[in-house]
Amino acid sequence: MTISLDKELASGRRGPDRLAPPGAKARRLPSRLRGVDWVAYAYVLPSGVLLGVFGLWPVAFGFWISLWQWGIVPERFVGLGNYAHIFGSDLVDHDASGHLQAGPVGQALLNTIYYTVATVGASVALAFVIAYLLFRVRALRNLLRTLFFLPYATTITASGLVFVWIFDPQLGVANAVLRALGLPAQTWLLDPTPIGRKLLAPIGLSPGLPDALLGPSVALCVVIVFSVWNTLGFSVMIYLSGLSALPRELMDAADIDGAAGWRKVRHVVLPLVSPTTLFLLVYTTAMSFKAFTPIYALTQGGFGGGNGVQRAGGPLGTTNVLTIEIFNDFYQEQNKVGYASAVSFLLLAVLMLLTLLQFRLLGRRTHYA
Amino acid sequence: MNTTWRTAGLTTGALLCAVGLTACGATGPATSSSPKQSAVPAALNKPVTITYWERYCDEGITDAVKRFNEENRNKITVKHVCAGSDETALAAKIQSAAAGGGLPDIATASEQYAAQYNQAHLLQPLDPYLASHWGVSAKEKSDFFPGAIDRTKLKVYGNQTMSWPFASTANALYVNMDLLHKAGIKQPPTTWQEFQSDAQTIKRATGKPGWVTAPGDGADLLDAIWSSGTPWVDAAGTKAQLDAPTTVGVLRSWQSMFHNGSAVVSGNYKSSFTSGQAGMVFASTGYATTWSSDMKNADWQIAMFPHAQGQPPLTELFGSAHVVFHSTPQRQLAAWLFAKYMASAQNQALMCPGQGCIPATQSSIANPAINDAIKSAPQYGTAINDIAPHAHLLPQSTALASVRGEIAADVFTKVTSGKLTPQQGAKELQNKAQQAIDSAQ
Amino acid sequence: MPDPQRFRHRLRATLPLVVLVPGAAVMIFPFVWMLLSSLKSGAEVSHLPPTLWPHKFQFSNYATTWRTPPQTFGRYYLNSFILAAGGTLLKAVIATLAAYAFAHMRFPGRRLLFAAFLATMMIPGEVTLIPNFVTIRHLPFIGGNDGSGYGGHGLYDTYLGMILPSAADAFSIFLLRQAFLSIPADYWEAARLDGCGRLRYLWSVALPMVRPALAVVVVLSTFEYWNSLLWPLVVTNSEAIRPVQVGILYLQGEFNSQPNLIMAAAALSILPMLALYLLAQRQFRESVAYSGLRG
Repeated sequence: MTISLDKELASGRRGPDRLAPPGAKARRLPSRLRGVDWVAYAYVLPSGVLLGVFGLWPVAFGFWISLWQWGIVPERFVGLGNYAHIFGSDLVDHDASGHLQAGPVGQALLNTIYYTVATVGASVALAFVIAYLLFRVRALRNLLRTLFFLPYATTITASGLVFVWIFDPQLGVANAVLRALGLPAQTWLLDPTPIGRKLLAPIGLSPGLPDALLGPSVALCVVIVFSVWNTLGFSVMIYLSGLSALPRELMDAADIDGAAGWRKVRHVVLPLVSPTTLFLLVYTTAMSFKAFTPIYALTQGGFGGGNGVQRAGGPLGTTNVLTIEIFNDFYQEQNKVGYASAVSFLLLAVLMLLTLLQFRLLGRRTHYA
Repeated sequence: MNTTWRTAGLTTGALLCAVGLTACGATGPATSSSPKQSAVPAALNKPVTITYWERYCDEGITDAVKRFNEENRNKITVKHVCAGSDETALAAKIQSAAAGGGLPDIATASEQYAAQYNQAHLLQPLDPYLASHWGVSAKEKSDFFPGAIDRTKLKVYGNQTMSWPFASTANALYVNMDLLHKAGIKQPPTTWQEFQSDAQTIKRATGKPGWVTAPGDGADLLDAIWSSGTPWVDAAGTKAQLDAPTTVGVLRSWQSMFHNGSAVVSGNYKSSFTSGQAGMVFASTGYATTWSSDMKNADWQIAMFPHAQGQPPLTELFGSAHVVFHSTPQRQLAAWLFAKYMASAQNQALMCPGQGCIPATQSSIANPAINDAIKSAPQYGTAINDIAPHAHLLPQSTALASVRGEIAADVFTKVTSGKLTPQQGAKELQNKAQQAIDSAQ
Repeated sequence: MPDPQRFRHRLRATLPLVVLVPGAAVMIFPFVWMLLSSLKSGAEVSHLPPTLWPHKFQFSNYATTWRTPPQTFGRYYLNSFILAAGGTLLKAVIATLAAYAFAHMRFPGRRLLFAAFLATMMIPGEVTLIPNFVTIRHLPFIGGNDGSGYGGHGLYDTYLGMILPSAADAFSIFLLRQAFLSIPADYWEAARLDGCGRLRYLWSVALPMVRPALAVVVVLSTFEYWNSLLWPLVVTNSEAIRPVQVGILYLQGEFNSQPNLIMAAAALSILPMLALYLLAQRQFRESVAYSGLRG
């Protein structure tokens, strides 16, 4: 049993162990001889207990809640009723004329996917470019490195306030710049127009597709820009440590072979950092999929909210990602706690599926020297 | 190996003791099994300490709590807890405490949340106290503004008194008179017609928008429809009535204002107004005192929320009231006495100028503290004298939160941006509101 | 006439600056704008078109912001510091232990356990709030609770209560495990023959070799604790132990028509972390460089 497990570990066919650097192989033989390290359980115990109690137990508890019609207190056991509701009409719905359209949860899922794909794609790609350039450059290296990392060192709620202020339609500096350039001012975080329609409009195109399929709204795009700005430093840092851990000989050999510029990046550097890339993709996907604070901070309606109840997720629900949907159901309409728990299990299921897919699809392209 | 075991064991041992057993210990939520404590004690037997959660966290309230503790030394001590600056944060705290224990004895709540707490049987009805010798006299009761006292006993509370007046504000129109004068207008508008034409005149004369509003402003939309003659739901709270011509009229007027640039939407609509970048804004009367320092050099006024021609002046009551949570008879009594103190004419007069509320009691107006506040901010006087008497709660229903926050907000955005015609907007508003009401039943 | 080869070399080393310098400028623009806005007067900050440089520096904005919340910022800073330092220390210790075990020890259930650890990374925090609150209040034998977890407050309204739920963190364990995996097992064999215990080896041999990863864990964890808002608000009642983000929350409501003061508040919550990073970055960079040399 243990031996077959170990074989799987070493072959790296599945799971996060594929990220293991070459040195990992070295430990195999001696450890088999030594047998089981019973003391290991003591090492794992503190983390295990805390993760169990504060990570896994809430999930079990949450699943229990999702089987109930649950307000502030449990009201009625409904079994899978909440899930039936989600898959019945909240995910995909028919409009009055019988056409398919996204229900509220379906729209939130789509927003989440837009947000995740754009944020992860932009931030990982930009991070690689910046990290590689930082790695090559000599002058100003330390200063630049610090500057790129700074946004990550800020509080999201505080820097969110700054972005709301910068992108204010009336008083913001973003529109001041546009006006100075002779371009039309935008409403930014208040604009529900999908970016596809927005970009095609100036050249006279108006596709007949529903808004939901024409990309994220302008508002969600601003949120994406904010998230990329905020997390880029982290990805750059991870890439830099990945790059500086690469064997110098290989890089130098590539230089001597005359592999320069793009060819060198494509055939030498990218394959060498592919474990880092896989890790970043998986990690930032999970983080974006369950991101809450950046969206909340930018869409709850300016400083201190508006009259009465102002909800995050606007305009027209185009920034309403799954976590915002869950939060609003949990704390704004407290009679929907059971339902919100069921939605969070949908989120969990989709995210796990995504992670698995990433390992399956990208793992094959990951090179271990 | 032995030492390793021992050291590693020590590291984890404490944690194991602390946490390991809880997975079994904390099974399930503590359901609200607290017995209904309705017996009103004849006296406070010994000193009581009660916990008070509120969401405004300002000096006015801190001072009021201090005064109460001072006056009730050796009898009641109120522990004052700030619970965040918006109601969602307070709600998250109360919801967690409802599941895990540690609810406060008394807290601030708007009607939406109070109804939900009541539905979960967390709240102590106040009628028994009102009926006992701890209650208020008929004279005291008639001293409350109608809006302030009416909000304590609602159909969504099962027609019981579930809250007691605390900090009332009302939806009001703020006007930058400098911009109005530049446009040749002498008085703030009183009707929706004047509002629209004044906004357009301001835009033409100054180039600045006449009206700046919050994004997706469902609250103002429902209020405008109301002051045009139709409340959003019927008296029974079961039938939406948003398809009346009044709704189409309001939406048509607003759509044209956005279309010609005399109205704009801004996330920072308040600073847009206070910095003189827009002529008018709707906001709570709570800003009447604070904005006087922000707008020292400007001539600005606060005015009654506009209404349709031929309709009486009417505006929505904002703010929150106090609710008392189930605990022991002694603590509940102490909480009631504290709530009663906070609503008293004397305290309302002392607390409101600093807190920004309009006093819940009419006799407070004669108090020197209020007079001083009016002297330094005349707008506050307008709020108290001209707006407070006309402020009432919107007809309440459990669906109101989603009708206001989601449905009306979306229709506002769709109509003002031209995605829907006013007629389509009214129809969507009606249909979705009715759906929300039906599913809330 | 410059040596063409040297020239090309120079060019290659400086060309990236064409991309990097404007990029860096974009990255720090929000900070610059925040600081400039925070020093403007109320009238100037909302002026159209916006001014870049304040006409008059109004430093009193910071004084106003400092003393407006229920506690002064000094107290909030201290609390946030206690949270960040205590939480990070705890997290680093237990993550190191677990990561080492996952990397270099063999025990039945290792794969399953590791997968379970990683799975916790995918749970959205909004869902865990209420269950964790229940748990914190009903920890047995703590805070006046009896063996079944009732009768007292558990860790409610304590620093530890704010720290504990996020003290074990699958990401930190994952990161450290990756680093430990790169240490050949022969090192431990050699150390063992010399009579060195597991913990001794971990502390004096293995840990120094994973310093870069540890530095990453420490930095990220510090930020995370510094930034937490909703959980500290829900699990505390005493203003005296609440962190700085809660203070900012009050200001958001209080200053909603004064962008200059809001920007000052944002600056007050951000600056300590920036300062900490600038102070620690030497150490941080050396750690990263250290790993580079080794590779």
